[in-house]
Amino acid sequence: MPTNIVCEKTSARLEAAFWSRRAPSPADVTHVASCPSCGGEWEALKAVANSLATSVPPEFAEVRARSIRQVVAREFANSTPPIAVATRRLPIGYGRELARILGWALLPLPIALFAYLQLFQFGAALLGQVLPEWGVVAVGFVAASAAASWLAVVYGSIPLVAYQRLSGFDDAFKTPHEVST
Amino acid sequence: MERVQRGEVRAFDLLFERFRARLFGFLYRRCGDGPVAEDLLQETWLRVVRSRDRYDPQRRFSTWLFQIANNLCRDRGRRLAVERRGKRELTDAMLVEAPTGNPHPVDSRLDMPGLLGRLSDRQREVVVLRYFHDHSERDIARIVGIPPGTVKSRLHQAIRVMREQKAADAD
Ligand SMILES: [Zn+2]
Repeated sequence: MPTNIVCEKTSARLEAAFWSRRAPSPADVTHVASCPSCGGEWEALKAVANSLATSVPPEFAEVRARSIRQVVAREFANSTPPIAVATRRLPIGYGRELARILGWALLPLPIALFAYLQLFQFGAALLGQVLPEWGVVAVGFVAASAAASWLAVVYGSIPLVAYQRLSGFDDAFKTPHEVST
Repeated sequence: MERVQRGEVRAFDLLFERFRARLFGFLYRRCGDGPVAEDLLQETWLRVVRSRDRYDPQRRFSTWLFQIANNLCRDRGRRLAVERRGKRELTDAMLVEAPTGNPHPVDSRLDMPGLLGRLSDRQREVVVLRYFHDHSERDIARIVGIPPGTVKSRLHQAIRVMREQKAADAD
């Protein structure tokens, strides 16, 4: 075992040389030759290296390699396109286009809502003369949900419209794989 | 590998050829059996193909490849150990006199000639990667999934085991 700092450091370097299958540095060779402790260390490591050298893999038959390659190639051809490749990036400038269309679409919204509210109140007053109160409430509810549905459809389609304007309408409805081919 | 991810069969062929000998050598030294190494090689590539979307191009391909291969070897080692333990328990149960003492430890050593066969599975994986494949300790840490310090200590333990074995052989 190493008895002093020099031997300890030499021993660590000998081990490193062993793992990288390199010869020790000339300085370490000199030390090993004159130090029985490090000499013994190096001899033991060389014996281990000689033993490990006998671990040689058998020949990997060409026929077997070809058959493996075929099996894997078949799997390769049959496998679905991987997600990372299939996932299409959004077209360049998509965010800006989306903001632009959204801006234009939001401009008339207060006017439309105001007009609708006026119409709503006018209709309710008119219906109040012929229908009982619960009837007016029911018609009002239907009218309000119809308006909400229209708003959802119109504003919900904006991302799709933005996509279509940048990449062509058909692409938006293809699967990502079809798009990429 | 990025071309393989895009689905180019030719690129896969190139990768297969490039790593063929290295991967086979690794699997053989890990499991000590030629035909088993061939099967594991096929399984490794099948897994590469099936999970190619999970490969991160920022990482080295060889690290990922050896990680998959090493995990397969570990799975096989665990299966073998369980089978062996099962067999031994069966033999013990058949003995008239019940055995005393500790139950048999899970034996991860293989019927493998030479020094590699004397190492535990955990030691052998780092030795094969470091000595025969010249992977750095940092790279081995990524492949095996342990901190670099643990790689260092396992390599150190492995040297001790192998030296003791050589000394015992010499006596
Ligand atoms: Zn010394």
